[in-house]
Amino acid sequence: MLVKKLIVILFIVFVSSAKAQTTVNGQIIDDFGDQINNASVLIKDSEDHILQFGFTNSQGQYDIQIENEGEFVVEVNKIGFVKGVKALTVTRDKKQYSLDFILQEQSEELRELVIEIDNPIQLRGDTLVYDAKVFATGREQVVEDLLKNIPGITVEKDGKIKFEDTYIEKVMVGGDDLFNRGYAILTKNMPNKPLDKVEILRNYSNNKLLKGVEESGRVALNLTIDDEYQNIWFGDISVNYGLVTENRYDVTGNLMNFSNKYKNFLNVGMNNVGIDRIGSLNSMFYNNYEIETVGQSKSLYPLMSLSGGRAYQLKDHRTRINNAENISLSSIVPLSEKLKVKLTGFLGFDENYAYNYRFSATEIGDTYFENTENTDFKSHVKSGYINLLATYDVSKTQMLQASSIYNFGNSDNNNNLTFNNISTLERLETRNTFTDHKLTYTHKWNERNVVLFKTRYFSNDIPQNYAINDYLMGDLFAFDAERMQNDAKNSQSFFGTEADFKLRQKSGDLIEFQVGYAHEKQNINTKFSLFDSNNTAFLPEDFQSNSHFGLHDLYAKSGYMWQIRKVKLGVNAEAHQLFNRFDSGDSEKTQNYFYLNPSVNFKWDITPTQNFSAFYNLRFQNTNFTQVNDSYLLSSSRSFHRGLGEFKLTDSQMANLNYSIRHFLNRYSFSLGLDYSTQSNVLSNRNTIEQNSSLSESIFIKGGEAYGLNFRGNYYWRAIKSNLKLESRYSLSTSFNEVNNSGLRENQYATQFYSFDWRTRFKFPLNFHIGTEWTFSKVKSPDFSNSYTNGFSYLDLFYTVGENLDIKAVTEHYYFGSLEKNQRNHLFLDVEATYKFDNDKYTVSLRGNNLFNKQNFTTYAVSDIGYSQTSYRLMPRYVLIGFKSRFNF
Amino acid sequence: MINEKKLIDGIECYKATASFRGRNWEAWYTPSIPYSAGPMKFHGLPGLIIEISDETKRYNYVATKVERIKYSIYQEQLDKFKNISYNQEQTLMEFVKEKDEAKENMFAAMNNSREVQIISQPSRLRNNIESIYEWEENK
Repeated sequence: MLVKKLIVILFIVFVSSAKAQTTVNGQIIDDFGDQINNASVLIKDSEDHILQFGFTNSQGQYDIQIENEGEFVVEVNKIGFVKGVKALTVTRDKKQYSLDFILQEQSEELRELVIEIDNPIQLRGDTLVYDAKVFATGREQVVEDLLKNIPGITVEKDGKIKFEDTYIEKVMVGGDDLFNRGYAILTKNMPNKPLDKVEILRNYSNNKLLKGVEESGRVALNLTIDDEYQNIWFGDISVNYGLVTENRYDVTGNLMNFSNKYKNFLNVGMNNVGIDRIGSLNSMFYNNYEIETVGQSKSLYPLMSLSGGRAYQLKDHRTRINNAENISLSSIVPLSEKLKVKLTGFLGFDENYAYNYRFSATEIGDTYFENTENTDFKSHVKSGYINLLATYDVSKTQMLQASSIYNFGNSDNNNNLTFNNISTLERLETRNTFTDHKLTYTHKWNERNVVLFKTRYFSNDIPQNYAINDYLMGDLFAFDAERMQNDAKNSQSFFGTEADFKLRQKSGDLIEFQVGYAHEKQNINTKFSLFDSNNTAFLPEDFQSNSHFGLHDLYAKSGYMWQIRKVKLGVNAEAHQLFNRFDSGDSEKTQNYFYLNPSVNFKWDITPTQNFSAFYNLRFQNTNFTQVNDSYLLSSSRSFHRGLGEFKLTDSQMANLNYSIRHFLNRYSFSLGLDYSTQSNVLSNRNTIEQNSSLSESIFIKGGEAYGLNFRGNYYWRAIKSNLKLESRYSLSTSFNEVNNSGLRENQYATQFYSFDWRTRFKFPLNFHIGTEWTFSKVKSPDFSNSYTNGFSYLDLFYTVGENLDIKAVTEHYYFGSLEKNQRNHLFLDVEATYKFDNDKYTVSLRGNNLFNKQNFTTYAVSDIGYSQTSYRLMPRYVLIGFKSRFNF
Repeated sequence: MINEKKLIDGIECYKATASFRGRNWEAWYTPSIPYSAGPMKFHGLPGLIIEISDETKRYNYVATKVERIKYSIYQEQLDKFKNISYNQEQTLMEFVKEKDEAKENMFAAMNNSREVQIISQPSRLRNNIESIYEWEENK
């Protein structure tokens, strides 16, 4: 019925207004007198325009009405026959004409036709190519506007781009990437006019030779530029300045240039409103993931750290009191057809401040004491890096990539520490230099098989100098010290090489295996000295280190996945042969271990909406060098830590079960998970804690267990256009340690977590998101137990008028049940309003932070030896007025 | 039908325009292949539709090859279609309503974390080939 209706509609649409006046009919037959059905009959005028048409019925008859009078041509077409043409003169007097045709059979049949047309969308394998000009309506200004017109692409408010259901990896220009996941800087600023094509690369691989071999659900975008726009410069600038409050600012600028040859990107920023664009000194060498390599998990940490401490419960910008500047520049230069070089440089400066007060109570057996600590902390960080990446296409199936990084940085931390009313000044200077060289050769020796040879060498040096103008550790040392000093140096080098095979089977299964060798070396040198009033130095034995470590690791890894109907079963295994060596001057130890780490995972799609999955692994781990070092290392003004003095293998087993009901078309989703882990051999600590000092040493003991249960439910209630979410978690864990000759003691931690939230999706301008979260914790040790309740609630209001005006107000409330009554509740309010005009070219904004001007934030924490309460100074209230504009020339 | 002609790869084609479910379409058909067929739901012209696209060029159909298939192959293909069974009968209106609801559900579930900002949705929820149905016109 509906189909019929459809056909009728279509006919009415195409056969425009047939006001019948004159009728032409007739019959069409072939040479043998057989009737020809479904032949087309066209009525054309003398200029070859089609006026009317019809088809013959099963008897070969047709009947067509003509509106006008005059000279016409009747044309009959049928595949396999020669076209029939007859002239027809229609006069006013005659209302009925009859024209019969006898069609000659055509010896030549319809040839095969191949038609080539420029289609605005082309599909080449996994790549979809869109013609940018066709999708532009003329109103677009930047790339992002154009992307919004492309089917399948969604652009989110913050610039994140999705193709169908997947967030894209990166946006490249002419096949080159300068931004990684920070691509919004490009898409929000680059004018769309120079664009020629937009390519969507599905099943994208960073290494182009792995395309089609490795499992990849990733999507990337590539933009190509018209030849006539050889050289365009564009970017944006954003200036925010404090209105009523003290001098606050946030300034950023981006400048880019793309030509078919060179590509450049410059970014500068400075702020003192708590935004971190520099990162910490420790994390600075994790900025290159562009080539497949080895040893990613190896990193070196400073032996000592001095930090002001920040409340992690709060958003970063509330607790970071800073003054930062940064600049970065990236360039891509093709040196020849086959060789391309990318150069990136970064320089950052940061000043951080912290003002905290901490009270702690410790209770171990008969010992009970209280300490107070006041910090007035300031740090200066400088860091920078230069990264050179070269890609050489040896041939269509072979590629060589090389990357070199030079990282450098230093931090100078000063702290006015007041410990139990004793005022001191401590200072820690840290330098960090890191050089890294990687070489990866990829060979795709046939359509489905690839091998990668990866080699890497890096070295890292972290020298540190610590000094404090007082001595706080009571009677730990039998020396009348007035000040103390610690010079430490931690250095590491790594060499690794690996062959990585990826073999895609005819059945579609993927077999991967790697064999490799890694060699690591680490040296720890420390000189810990105490000075008395005459400046006489005292160097306590057991508190100095001069240790050398070496590790050779021969390994093989492999995995396979079976798929049987709705069940997937994957098995992975890693085998390692380790040769450990440790030399601390007076003793030398070598220890060799062999171990196998297996893991199994199982997935069952019971129905399209119900999934069950299970996972198990057994994992052995070698102790790291700092855990082995057998002399005490100073870790803060009042504490030391010492390693085990030998290598050990620790182990852990983990299993989890998960059941979920979820389908993207459903209004509800639900998941239930169960976790269990156990450790039979583990490293723990033996602590000797006194009021003024703490000595801890690693011990190798039996491990504990942990259970976890989690539930998540989500429901979209259409009647009130609201999304409701409920979450709960429960966990229970036990672990062992030793404190002050207690012998092995068992500690139990239990946590319950509940959260509920409600988010609206009303069609009118005002929407809200309200939620609350509660955590109930309990800690139990042999002679100590404590429990507490923490809560967090929020109300986010969104007010959007059209495309231009956006207002967002965020209210957050924190509750700490164990604090004194007047300290339990903390309330925050932030408001942000933005107004965009001239097609988003300009944005004016008003940002108010911490409007209740909350000065301090107090938290409460419990451990197995007591509890502590810390008060942090916060970023005070500020209001910023901002202006942002993009430009191009 | 519009009296405009063009050659597509040597084939003489005539132009026709239509408006269908919220979009305006432009079709090029050739009387030299006298079958009143075309892609999607388009048909009824005195010749095969070689090219058809909507005015935004978001949807484009183009014939790339015309091949004469022997009757037996055609019959074989047809038999395959016959085998598809279904277990639910519903009107187009019911189907469209269900599909719209599913889309709304999906969008709601996607946007349920506090960090994700709701993005302004285009006023027309359905942004695909058929965007306005007959029963929704003139509303």
